[in-house]
Amino acid sequence: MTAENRYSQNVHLISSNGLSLYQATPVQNFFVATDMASAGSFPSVSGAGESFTCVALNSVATSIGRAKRDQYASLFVALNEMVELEEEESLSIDSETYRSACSVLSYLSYSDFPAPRVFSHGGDAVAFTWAHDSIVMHLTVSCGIAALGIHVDGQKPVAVGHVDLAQSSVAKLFSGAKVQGGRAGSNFIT
Amino acid sequence: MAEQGQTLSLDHVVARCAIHPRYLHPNNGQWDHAYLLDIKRVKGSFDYKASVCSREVLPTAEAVHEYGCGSAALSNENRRANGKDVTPLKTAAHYVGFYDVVVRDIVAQANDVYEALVEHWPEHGQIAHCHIVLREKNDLTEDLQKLKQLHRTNAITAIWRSMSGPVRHVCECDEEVRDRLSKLVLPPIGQD
Repeated sequence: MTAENRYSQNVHLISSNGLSLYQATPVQNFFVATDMASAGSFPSVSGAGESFTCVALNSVATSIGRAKRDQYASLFVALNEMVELEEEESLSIDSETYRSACSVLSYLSYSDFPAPRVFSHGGDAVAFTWAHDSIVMHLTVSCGIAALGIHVDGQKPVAVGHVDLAQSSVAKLFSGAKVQGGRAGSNFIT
Repeated sequence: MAEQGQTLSLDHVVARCAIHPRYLHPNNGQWDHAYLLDIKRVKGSFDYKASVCSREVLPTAEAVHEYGCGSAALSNENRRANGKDVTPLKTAAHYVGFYDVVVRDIVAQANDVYEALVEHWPEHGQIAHCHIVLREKNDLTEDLQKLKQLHRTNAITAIWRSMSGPVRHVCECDEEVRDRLSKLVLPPIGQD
């Protein structure tokens, strides 16, 4: 991979076995891609003498299991209860955060993501969390902003990206890669 | 021992007590490490804090258990004094164990938005009491202002993932419900 492509939003990677992965979003030393259920996980990406870790958001999600309507329903109930709590209660959220969180949760409930855990700390923010093995993924909603972060054990947490919910859909955070051809590979070359 | 407000050294170890049912979501009873750590904003400031206890003051597991049982008992006393229900396994607080973390691993979670530290803060006669503190940095850019919550969530998760434990316990006052408390799930690190 060339240096000028490293921080491009559209990076085309081609594996040695013909498997291609494109539109991955490089963030520091992570490639964050979605929709890789057919290819499993891509543990490492190599190119130009550098190595990267590839985190497949959907492989994190699908390995846990499909979303269930009743689990998402209970999350909407949880948000309803959080907005009705007194302000001094630690799990309370304000009405703006509630509306944004419901909007984000609606998107997630129609996606392939299993129901996340939900947490509020501070009154003006909600965090949706998925955890699998050494990877934890957060989608935080605060002040009209949805932000995606990933933590891999042994590495510093990474802020993957954020969207202004007044201007863009949270789907933008998850748009990206499709895998074509071949089977799950190991190392890629560009 | 350090004075109140003084930061603890990097080699210091602190323990976070698990008080049931506070580490569970109040609606669906779901575990979350964020509820265990319960790092909350301090009114009137931009600091987020969670209570921990010093392992220098409480070097043995038994000493931490005594501290945790005392914390739960104090909480239940306060509830009764305020006319609130204290029903075992429902509204009552039960100390069930603790997790350890090295101060160095907490401080290492400082990021673009927050400093991370542990301060000594004796209270209610407990000299072992300390706080994990996430302190907002000054002069944040507009972009970082928008991402405060994400950076806070990231720091909390990273702190959780650097902890060890749990070391389980059932208090003497909970003997009647020992069997049920013993069966409660407290995840090891990385298995939540």
